[in-house]
Amino acid sequence: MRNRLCLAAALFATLSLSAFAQTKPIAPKRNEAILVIKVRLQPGVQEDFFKNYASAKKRGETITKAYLGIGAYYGYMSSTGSEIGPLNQFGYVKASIPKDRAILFRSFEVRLADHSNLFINFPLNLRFTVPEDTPYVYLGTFVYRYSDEYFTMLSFERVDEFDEALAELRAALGPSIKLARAVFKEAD
Amino acid sequence: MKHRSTLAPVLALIVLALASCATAGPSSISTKDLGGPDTHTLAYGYLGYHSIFGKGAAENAMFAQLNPEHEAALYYAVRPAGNSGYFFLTPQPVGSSWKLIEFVKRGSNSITYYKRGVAGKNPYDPRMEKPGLLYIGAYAYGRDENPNGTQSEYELWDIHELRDEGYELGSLKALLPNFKRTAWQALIEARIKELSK
Repeated sequence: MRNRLCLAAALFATLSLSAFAQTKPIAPKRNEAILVIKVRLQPGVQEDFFKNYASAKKRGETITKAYLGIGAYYGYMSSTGSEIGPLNQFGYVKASIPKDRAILFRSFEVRLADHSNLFINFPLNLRFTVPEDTPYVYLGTFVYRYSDEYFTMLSFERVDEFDEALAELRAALGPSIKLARAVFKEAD
Repeated sequence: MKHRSTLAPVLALIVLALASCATAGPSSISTKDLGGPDTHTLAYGYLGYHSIFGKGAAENAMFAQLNPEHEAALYYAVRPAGNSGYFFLTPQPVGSSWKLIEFVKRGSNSITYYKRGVAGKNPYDPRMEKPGLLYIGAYAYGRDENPNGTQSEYELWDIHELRDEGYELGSLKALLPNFKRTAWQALIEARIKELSK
């Protein structure tokens, strides 16, 4: 039994891909990538209205946030809740780099007032590889335009704000920082 | 001390077991301060969970109000006839927009939560456009019995509209006792009469 538990723990440790979010540029540790992504909703979310859904205790500080769903491409575990942070600004998500450097970008999610029931999910099912020469990867700026109170989709696109992302990274971490654009392939 | 530490998980299990017996949503409403049929909409319908093992109700159907010009609110649909699947929303002001964001399937030894998110208006998400009665329709979660050939096996599993089998009449009869001696009673009775012809 004990052996089995150890095996399960070891499997869990190797297969899972841990990820943490920061709203400020951060330097990765060894074998870690920093995924840079921005999510925008147009028109903007009426925070004053949606924060009424938060519990009374949290109402003051509540704000809509985005979350990244990623995992090791050949892993069994993937995270659904790696925080990107508030909308309209770059989020920096730490992710451990798998052996083959391939990461599955399954989806991202916007949670209105950071409420787990009030979400808009964006399934993507893409894969990309973390380049050898830099751990900083720009996933893109994703813009969702909608028409009514039901967030009915008008358009969904990936906009390139690579230069802004690079400038913000270099301002915080130094001019030698290199940033790579993620090259997406459809995942199998 | 040692005893207490072993008791804690046992107690937690008991609490969990009891929680799973909790109600599946409200079955009646208070008629105090109820909005009238001149300014409010009473939306009703049928929401089931159908499978090869039989037909049951989708429980704890939770609706969220999404129009920022109205009050932010989360409501469980009222189930006037228990596990029949008939439900209604307490009369809501004209202009408010409601979205089904969650429901529960309760099995003999499992509970499944279906979370639907806030994006996209489905036919079972009522927008209160006119005062009076609004029949949402009859829907059930399950495999589509009339597939159009373009859906994947995964997409076949969703909430689908049901053929009318007297669901509107059934839900009106079930909700009527809640609205006795209110301004809604005459309206509901008139519609029941119309459907019973």
